[in-house]
Amino acid sequence: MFFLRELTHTILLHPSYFGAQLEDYLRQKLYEDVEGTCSGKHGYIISVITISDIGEGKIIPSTGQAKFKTTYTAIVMKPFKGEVVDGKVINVNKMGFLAMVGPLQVFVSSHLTHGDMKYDPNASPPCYRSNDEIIQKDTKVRMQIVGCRVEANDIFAIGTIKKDFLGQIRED
Amino acid sequence: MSDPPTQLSLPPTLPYPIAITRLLVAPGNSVKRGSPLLEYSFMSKEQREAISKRQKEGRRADISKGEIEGDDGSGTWDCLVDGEVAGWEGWIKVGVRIERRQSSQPLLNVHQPCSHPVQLHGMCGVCGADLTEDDYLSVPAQASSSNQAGPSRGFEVTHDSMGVTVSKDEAHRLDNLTRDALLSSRKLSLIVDLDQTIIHTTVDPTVAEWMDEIDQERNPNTDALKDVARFQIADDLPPGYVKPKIKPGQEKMIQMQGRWYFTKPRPGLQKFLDEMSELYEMHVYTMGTRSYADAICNVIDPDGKIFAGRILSRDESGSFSSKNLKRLFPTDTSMVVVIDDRSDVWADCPNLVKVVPYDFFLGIGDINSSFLPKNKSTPSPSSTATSPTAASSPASSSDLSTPPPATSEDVPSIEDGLLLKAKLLDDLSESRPLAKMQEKLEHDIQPDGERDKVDVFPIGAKSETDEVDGAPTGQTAPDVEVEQNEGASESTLSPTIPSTPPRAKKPLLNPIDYELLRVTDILTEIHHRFYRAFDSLESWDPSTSLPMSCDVEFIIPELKSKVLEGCNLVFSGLIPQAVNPETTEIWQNAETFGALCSLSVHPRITHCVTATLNTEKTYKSSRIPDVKIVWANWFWDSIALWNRQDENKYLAQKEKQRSDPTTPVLVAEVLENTNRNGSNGESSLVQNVDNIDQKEKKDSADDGLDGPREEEGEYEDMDDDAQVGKGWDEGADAEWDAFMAEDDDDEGYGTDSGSVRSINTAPSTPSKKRVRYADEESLPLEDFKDPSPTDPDDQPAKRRKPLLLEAATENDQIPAENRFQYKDKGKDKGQGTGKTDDSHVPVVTRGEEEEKDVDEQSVAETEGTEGAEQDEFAMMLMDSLANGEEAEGEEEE
Repeated sequence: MFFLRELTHTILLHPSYFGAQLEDYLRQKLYEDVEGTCSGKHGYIISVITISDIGEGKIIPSTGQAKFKTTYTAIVMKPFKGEVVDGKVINVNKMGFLAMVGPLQVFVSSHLTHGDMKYDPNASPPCYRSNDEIIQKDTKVRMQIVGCRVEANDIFAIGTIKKDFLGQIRED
Repeated sequence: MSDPPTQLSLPPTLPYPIAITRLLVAPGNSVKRGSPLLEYSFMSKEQREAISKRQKEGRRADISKGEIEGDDGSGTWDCLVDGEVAGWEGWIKVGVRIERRQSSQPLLNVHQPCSHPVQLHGMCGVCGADLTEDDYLSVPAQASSSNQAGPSRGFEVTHDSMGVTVSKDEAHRLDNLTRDALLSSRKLSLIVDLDQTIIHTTVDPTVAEWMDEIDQERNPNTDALKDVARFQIADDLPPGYVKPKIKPGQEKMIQMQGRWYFTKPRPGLQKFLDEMSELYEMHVYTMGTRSYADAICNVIDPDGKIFAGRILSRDESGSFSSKNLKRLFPTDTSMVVVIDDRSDVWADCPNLVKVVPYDFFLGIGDINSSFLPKNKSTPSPSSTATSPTAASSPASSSDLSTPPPATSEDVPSIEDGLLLKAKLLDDLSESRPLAKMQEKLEHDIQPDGERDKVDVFPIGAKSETDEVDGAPTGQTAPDVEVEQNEGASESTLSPTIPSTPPRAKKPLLNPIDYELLRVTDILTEIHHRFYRAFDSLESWDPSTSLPMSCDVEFIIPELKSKVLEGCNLVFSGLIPQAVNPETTEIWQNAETFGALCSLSVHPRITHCVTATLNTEKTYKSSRIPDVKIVWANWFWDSIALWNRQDENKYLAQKEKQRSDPTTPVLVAEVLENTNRNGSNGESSLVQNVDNIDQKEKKDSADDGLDGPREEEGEYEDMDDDAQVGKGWDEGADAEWDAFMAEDDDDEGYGTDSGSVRSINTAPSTPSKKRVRYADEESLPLEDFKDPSPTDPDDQPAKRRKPLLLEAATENDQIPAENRFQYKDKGKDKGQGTGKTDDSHVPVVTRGEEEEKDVDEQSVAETEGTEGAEQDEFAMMLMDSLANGEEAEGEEEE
């Protein structure tokens, strides 16, 4: 699920950057530092929307670096148990398949696929096949998240397609 | 949940024997992890001691003193899983005593809501529960092998590490699925190593330059390089490591986007992969990085049809120094075959079919082996045994290779390894071993000019034979010409380079290799046997594992054991005295391949495998009829090729039976001389035996002709032109005896005359005299051997040295263009290789013996073309005299 969140980020700036371009540089640095990262607390930081306060730089006595405590608003994505997400399959193996939901990896075990869905290792690429569905690499699937494991800098999710209206998304 | 109830058993850590005193749960109860299931009592160590003490004293426990009979301790067994109790096993009752050996038996069945069969980073892949909680019930990682039902880290079974692991039960289920799928498609699994097994990769930028020349047909290695693929991968450096400044010349090759790799598929690879993918499900298991493995597979399997993503690289393997089948096939390895060029990384895996390493880019070895311990595996077969130009002998590769700095005995840490590897690759692209070798190659040729064409015989050791003969016969010359035409500046590594493998007579890079054909045969046979056994199964319950007859782990050893079946070996000079013979590699290899080994010579032995002649065992063995005394190479070749080689090619003492005692000395001496000649000694040794025993060779070349053999036969036939072997007969023996009978002080006189005679003989006629040169030709090699104190046999060799002085005369059939260079050489090359070129051999090769041999030298120099130098000297003398006179004259004036 996506959220708009007010976040803060601390930037340490070397004195050589002090100058007219300082603010531009801070913005650029903020984008580089936070976009695309993941924190267990907030989820994936997708995009910085606004920088509400660039902060006032404080010189750290011993190093001469300036410390800016920046507050900004960003779109974050955090998965929740029970959420239904759409993703794209990146890997299929005998234990299940792995799909990407934006930056998030969701693993769907073969136990959580429909009962009639069988792994076909001899297909190229290998796939899960049932009467009306084929799940292979690059297939778009709809999954429900069964559980999330949140670590300091990573989030893993388990999904299921063993429910109605889940599974392969047909593009037509 | 439809899962069968989980069976719980006691942990092995309880103080057995224990007696059950109370059952705390009944069927239908719900249990949680950590809730007690039963109480038991046990006897502490002190109590046990006290009881035995009392028994000695013959008294009973005195309760008043606090002594008791029986158990003095009690404990509870706690549940590992959540769920609902299904019921106790029938034998579990209050009062039952459980011994340690019974601890693995199941006691209790619990229905789990989720058995957590799949885990993703410690989270159950089915219910999403967190399984990483560590408490007092957690089983230590290693000990989880028993059928403990609690959540464990589990097995990784996929090729790519996504953090997904499975429990043992699940792994078993998946393996069964795999097995059923394989059985239904009548396939087995084949794990293929990449480096030096099916491809060879280098980072030497020389290859790029040579490849650029392919279109222009300028490079002698053009043919070999045609199917070399190149790709670029960034170096795999540990985080935080800053690459040292790149040297100017290198920038082109190592840039941000990565390093260029050059990959040569082993000849016949495509066919091999196509054929094998019919019979096997193909997997890749390499010590290279993921990106490397992907790049290679892109080259050899562009459609992804063969490997289909079943690629396991170092990044996922979990170990940097060894490979383990359990990584991919955790519970069932009965349908897995492995091919690899190194057996040490697989430990004692019975599924391994070892292949001869593919060493195309000479001297590079395996670029991904920097993490591996130094390769101490068995010598690879001599090149005669595989194919004329198969993989180089191990000595040659180790001599040539910039030995990876990390190949010390201890395996480096991962980070060190990465750095070392990067450094190694840097070194490699900087040092350009290939360019150096080719340079050397050409350098060796140019001074000698076209005379070297004579040298262009396919097998190194023999060319010298021919050379001393001074007679490239009419038949050989055309062959030589053909080769010369193939590459403009055709090149041969002169045999002077000790580490030159026999194929040196070709362009530096030799594309010929037949190993994959052989491996194809073996793999087909394994597949055939497996399914023959499987088809003959009468009733097999698919829920059980396959019987032993259908187990690759038994089929392969059985195949192996057929190789030397019926051989009863005794080793001589191969096993150090200090070690227990049964533990040595050669011994174990022999037994693996079905041979019986004996410590001493007894009448039942069939082979004496020896490293040297004239040992006690060889002598004893020679007394026993039908015992074949063979060089160790017979053994190594046989086990490397899974095919008992023809002993006649490797006989160590063939001469002994039919002539006087001196003859074996001769043979031994020749063999020893060649043997010492650098790396390909082993093979040249074999060839020399062939030379001497030419008829044998004919036989061996003719029998068992499959593809590669055919080629070999041809090569050997070409060598026959040298007419070396044919002449060795009784007449030669007689002459040899006569020679040996000569006074030792009379150094070389008689032989000198002999050589003159023979040189005057037309070389195409097989001359008995010439035979002697077959032996003598090996003499210059003495310059390269280490003086060995244990070698009394080389005395006569030194004496016969003067024979080398002979140059070709008018009568020799040297192609016209080969002739003129004698004078050139004599002048502009006072030193150098010292053996390809006979005109200066006397000067250079004799080195330390020069003083001793001055006489012969002068004798020699008075003959043939050596006169030029003398003339020069005489002219200088006359000049100086004339000057002196002039000066005197002037003074007088």
